[in-house]
Amino acid sequence: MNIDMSIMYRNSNTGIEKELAIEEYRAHKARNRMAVLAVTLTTILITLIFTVGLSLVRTVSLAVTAAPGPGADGNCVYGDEEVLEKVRALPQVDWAAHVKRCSSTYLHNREFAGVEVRLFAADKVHYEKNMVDLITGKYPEKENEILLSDTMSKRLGLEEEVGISYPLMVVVRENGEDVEKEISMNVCGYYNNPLRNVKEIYEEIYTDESFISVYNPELSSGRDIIYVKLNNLDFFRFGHDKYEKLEEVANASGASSSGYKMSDMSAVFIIPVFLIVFLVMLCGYFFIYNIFDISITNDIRFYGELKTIGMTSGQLRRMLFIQMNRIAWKGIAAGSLIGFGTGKIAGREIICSFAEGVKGYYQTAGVLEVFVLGAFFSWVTVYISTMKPFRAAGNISPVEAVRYRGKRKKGIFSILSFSLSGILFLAVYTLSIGYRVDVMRERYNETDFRISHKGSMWSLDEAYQPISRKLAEELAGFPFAENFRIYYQARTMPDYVEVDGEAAIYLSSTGEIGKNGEIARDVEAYNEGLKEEGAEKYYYGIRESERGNYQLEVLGMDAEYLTDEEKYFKVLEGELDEKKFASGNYMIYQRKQNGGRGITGEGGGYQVHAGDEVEISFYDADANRYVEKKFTVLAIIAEIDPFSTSNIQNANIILTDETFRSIYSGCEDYISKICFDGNGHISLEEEREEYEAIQKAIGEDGNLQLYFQSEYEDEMHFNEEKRIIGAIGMFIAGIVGLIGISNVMNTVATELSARRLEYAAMQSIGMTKRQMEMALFGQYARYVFSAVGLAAAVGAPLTYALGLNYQFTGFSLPEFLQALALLLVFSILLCGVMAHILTKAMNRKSVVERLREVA
Amino acid sequence: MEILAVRNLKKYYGSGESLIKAVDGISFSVEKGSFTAIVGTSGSGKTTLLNLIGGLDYADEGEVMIGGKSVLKMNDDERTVFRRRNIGFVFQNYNLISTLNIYKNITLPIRLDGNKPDGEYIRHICKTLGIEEKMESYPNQLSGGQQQRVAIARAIAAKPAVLLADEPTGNLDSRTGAEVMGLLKMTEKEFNQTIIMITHNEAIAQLADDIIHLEDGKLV
Repeated sequence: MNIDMSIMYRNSNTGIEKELAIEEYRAHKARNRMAVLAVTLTTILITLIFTVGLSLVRTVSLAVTAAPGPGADGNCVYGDEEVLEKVRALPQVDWAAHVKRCSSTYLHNREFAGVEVRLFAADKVHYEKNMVDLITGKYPEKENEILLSDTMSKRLGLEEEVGISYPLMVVVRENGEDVEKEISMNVCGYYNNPLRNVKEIYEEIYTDESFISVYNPELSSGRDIIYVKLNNLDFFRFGHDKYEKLEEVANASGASSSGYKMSDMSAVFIIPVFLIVFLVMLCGYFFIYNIFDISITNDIRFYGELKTIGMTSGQLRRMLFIQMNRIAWKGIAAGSLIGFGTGKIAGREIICSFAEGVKGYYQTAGVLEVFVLGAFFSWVTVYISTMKPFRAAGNISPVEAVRYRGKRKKGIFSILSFSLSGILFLAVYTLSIGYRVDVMRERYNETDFRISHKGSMWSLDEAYQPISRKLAEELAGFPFAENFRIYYQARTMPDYVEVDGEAAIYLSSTGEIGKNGEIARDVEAYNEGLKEEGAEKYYYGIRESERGNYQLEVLGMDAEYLTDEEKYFKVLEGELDEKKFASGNYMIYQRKQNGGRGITGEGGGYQVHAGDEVEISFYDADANRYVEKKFTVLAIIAEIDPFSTSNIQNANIILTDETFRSIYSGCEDYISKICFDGNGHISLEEEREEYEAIQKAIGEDGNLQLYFQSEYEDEMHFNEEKRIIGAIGMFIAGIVGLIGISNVMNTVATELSARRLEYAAMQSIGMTKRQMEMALFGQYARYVFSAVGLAAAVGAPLTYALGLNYQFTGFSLPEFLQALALLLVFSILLCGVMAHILTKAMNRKSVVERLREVA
Repeated sequence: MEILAVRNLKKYYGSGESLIKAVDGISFSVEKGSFTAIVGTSGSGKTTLLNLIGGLDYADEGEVMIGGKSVLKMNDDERTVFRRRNIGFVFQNYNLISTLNIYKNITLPIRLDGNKPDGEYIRHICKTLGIEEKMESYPNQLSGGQQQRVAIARAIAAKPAVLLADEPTGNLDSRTGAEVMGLLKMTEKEFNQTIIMITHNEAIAQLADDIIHLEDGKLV
């Protein structure tokens, strides 16, 4: 008789896997409950992180870098209604809002000094999409009605009273000239300021568009703003493609130009979101791995028996996979719903409660993206967690199964899991409680107070109005003023460019140098270098003036200031010798930098070096003359100041103030910065008094082109930042801690359950309940204190490294030790409580009953 | 000398029509150094009786005196400590602690009492029981018979007044079971140990000095 050998080896057990899987699934109620709990918890956390994290990304990104037109992320083109219609018709435009200028330039009310206040007439799309939400009253409908922001109301002490009359100093166009006019307006309502993060320097007041025809009919509409929400930006370019996309819109619609917010911080926040998700996945991995590993160990004889009767490794693994999938989807379904719901509430609460500045920008993450991301990462976590235990079950032989004792990894995983949360807690506590507001104040402010001319940094809407010597003397005369300094920056007239036949934009302050000499050659080489790097399209080289001179920033300051300014610069060549500099025979040179984007302009074949003798022809516009000067280059420097604290900043040529005055006949009109300290900070109240005195002086001076910064204001801001860091960080540490604790609890509880007969036996031979509790305490303590030790060992260097980031103020040992002490105390309490609870739970059944269970 | 006295011991489960009289008014006494077997079929109440004697369970009525002390009048902690010092248990399933080696298993009751084990005595017990080579091993590395020897060693390590054995040969083959019985007898002689053993096997019971028969919770 021939036996068909092929039949012998054909695998005919397919389909039985599902049947066995279901039977085994039903037989493991406790394991399933625990596993579903673990998956649910992991999914809740992952979904929660995505919900809160993505909401936070959108919210804070918008808030921190908010520019006018926040709903459009600051993107705009300039044009009239005809352009608006064309823009709206473009497929790449989601929506477009129209904002008309009502005043030629910013309002000239004295009480607005230091703040650029614009008067606009906006359409409904702008109010709705750019978050101009009404608090009280109504939107303007008449030419003499105005809508003010809540921050403006607070500034002016109006207490959001509707119906009051308020005069505005509007700049209207009359016979081709800009004329200041006082117009009495009626406050019809107040709105929630979406730009409150910049409220100290910028405000918008709204009126009806009929204002233009009544009060400013000659005003051109070519520079009206059309905010554009694009729908074709590449997410992974984090906003760096907006320039091109806006150019497309401008070209297609015939707009005069485009504008956009320079920075986009989404990348800064989105990366940490994913990092935290991976952290949660890791925690979830430990937990779920543990559960299945314990389960496999407990059932290993069963799997050995299955293999004995003919089940292959693959079939065994598939049987387990079917169970894993059931558990996974149950947990993911529950976890996603809870996680998203909790995240929506928690996200809003956390972000809006602790940060007044970002409240108005709050945006929830999308439902679909959160659910898809949450489910995907959760399922992957479960799958990875079960791979190894399932492989072990599949590969074990029947003989090995009888003697299988399992590995000690479950304990290690519990330790790792708990230590992860410990590390997070240590880092968050140390960096938030140890966050030094005074350090941040110092970091962002060289002196307590600084008054800058806006024209020294940005372009202006109207003719340059210099800082008066009178104001400088008044400020110097304050009894609390110390360490008083004045900086100068050259400005060359005419200083404007025309738009629509109006002298529309007044450029930022630059000096001019002739094309002879070594510095001029260096400038040419720099421009060549930009071309070689292919960067000239995006980053402007040194410009040429109408006279054919090169436009550079020329700064004059007392040589004594050099020591304080030094810390904001890297000296590339030479050294910053104060004595030599004071002689007036030396200059300091800084090549143009491009915002740290790595564009150097190097190349072009020539560079000026420290020690070189240079000859410069400075153009003095006020006297229409060239002043020839010879210097030795003292040093070549590059700014390393990410906080814009330095008073030199982008200056290309730095001279002593005496030398500066000898060049520029109109130098008294070129004061760019006034800096001084207050009377040593005794109390916040006294600081506030100093701050208000200075504000009053600036207000009375009436120059609206001044920008006032103070450490006092920063104190408020950094206190808020400290709260945000603490709240968000502790929230994350807390939820990750849940997984760590659950893992430890599960491990010990499962061990206890597996050893319940042993414990019953021990009690039968004389172990008291107290001794049992102590034994359990010891068991927990082994895991928990190992985890704390690991957390401390890893947490310390990690926290130190994180503390170096400029968002924080460094590593603080006292706070770290505090955090460690808290962690230890918590751990001891946890061990004690769990030991007590488990002992009680175990002894709900008598010793006899437990001994009988197995017998 | 009387070491154990049981007087009118009763243990009931349930009530009314579903009342089960597991132990129904049992009285007997055991002399020191004797080997007593309690025999009965399954459900006769012998395990319940053993648990009551050992203080593992609460009686509804009656008294158990060991060395003149009333076990059932003690509270849970007192009973546990008393058990640790005065009663040794040998279970059918051995009930050794899998995570402890043999030496630690044997000395566990002593260490639970906060005392230092008498190394020489322990070695003597182990030698007597033939397990002196297995001190560093773990329970799952031993055969059933060896594990039961370890259980016996543990039960007598603290020099208890009474050793209670619950079907000690139940999980063993006949040859090994006979060996274990032999060891129990030797323990009785060597250490003057009082042993009370429950079994359903008459043949095994014959090896004891006295036999008590139990049926439906009563002595017969």
